[in-house]
Amino acid sequence: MKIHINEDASLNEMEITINCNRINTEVESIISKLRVMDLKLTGKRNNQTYILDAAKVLYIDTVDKKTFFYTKQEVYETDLRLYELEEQLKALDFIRSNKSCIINFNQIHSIKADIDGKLLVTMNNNEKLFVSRQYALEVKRKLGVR
Amino acid sequence: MDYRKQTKYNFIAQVLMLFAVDVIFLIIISAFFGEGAKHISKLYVLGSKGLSTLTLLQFLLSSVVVIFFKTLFFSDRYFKKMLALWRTILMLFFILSSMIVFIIVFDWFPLNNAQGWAGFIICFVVGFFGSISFMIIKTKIASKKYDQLLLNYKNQRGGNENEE
Repeated sequence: MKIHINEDASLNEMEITINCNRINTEVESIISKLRVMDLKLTGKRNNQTYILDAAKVLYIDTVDKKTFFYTKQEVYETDLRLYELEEQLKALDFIRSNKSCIINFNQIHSIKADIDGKLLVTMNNNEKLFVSRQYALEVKRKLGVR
Repeated sequence: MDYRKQTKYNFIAQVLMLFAVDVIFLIIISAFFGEGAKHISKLYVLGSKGLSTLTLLQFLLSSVVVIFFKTLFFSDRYFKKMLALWRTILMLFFILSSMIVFIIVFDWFPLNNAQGWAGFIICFVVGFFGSISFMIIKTKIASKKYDQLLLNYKNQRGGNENEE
């Protein structure tokens, strides 16, 4: 893969052009990563590709090494790994809730303490997710619990 | 403070809290029975004079054992997929078993003493339901606090902009 960078002071916005003989999984992965930087997520559903505003995503999890993200109504599959998304989506208040899930803090409806130190989070679509004790500390810190 | 450090400090704090409750409970019984406490159990060998160092050390050790089982069954590291009900049952089984070992090894009361066993079971049941009630109240208060803090957080960030 060759990378060319053209520096042009007259440009107001960065432009990325991909030249390839066909769109394969590698190209799709590059596009997905670039979209995340733009706070957009590329997801597949029913063999169609969708571009979504990351702020509308409620949570992202991995099942059987596949990564899925969930909006209020739909589920999309993405080629990106959870750790790749976590790092990029921190700016949008996404935080880790357990080893296989990151949640959008702005899409949390309520937080309940659990008897064994975990947190039970209800998302805006009424889905309930557990925050493990390890990551509960980060949630509490974000809330300002001393 | 990182998670491991906090877990370590939490463990020590819980051991010391349980030990303190045990000691208060023992002092109340000792004060209630006075010199007569000597005849109830070897735990009150000093009668109305208070608790012996040996008794205190035994209860400190028992507190470590109890909190060890509690931490083991309710940590994120082990038994991750086990239901909370089974965790509780197994935790109670191991705690109860270890306390029976303590009774036998440290000769807290004669094994054929029905009153001793009745007292032990009553203390265990009262202690269990007391701590469960305390934890339920504590989590309810914490939940209310978290919801309020979440609301404050959202208000600070300009309302529930993502809610439809």
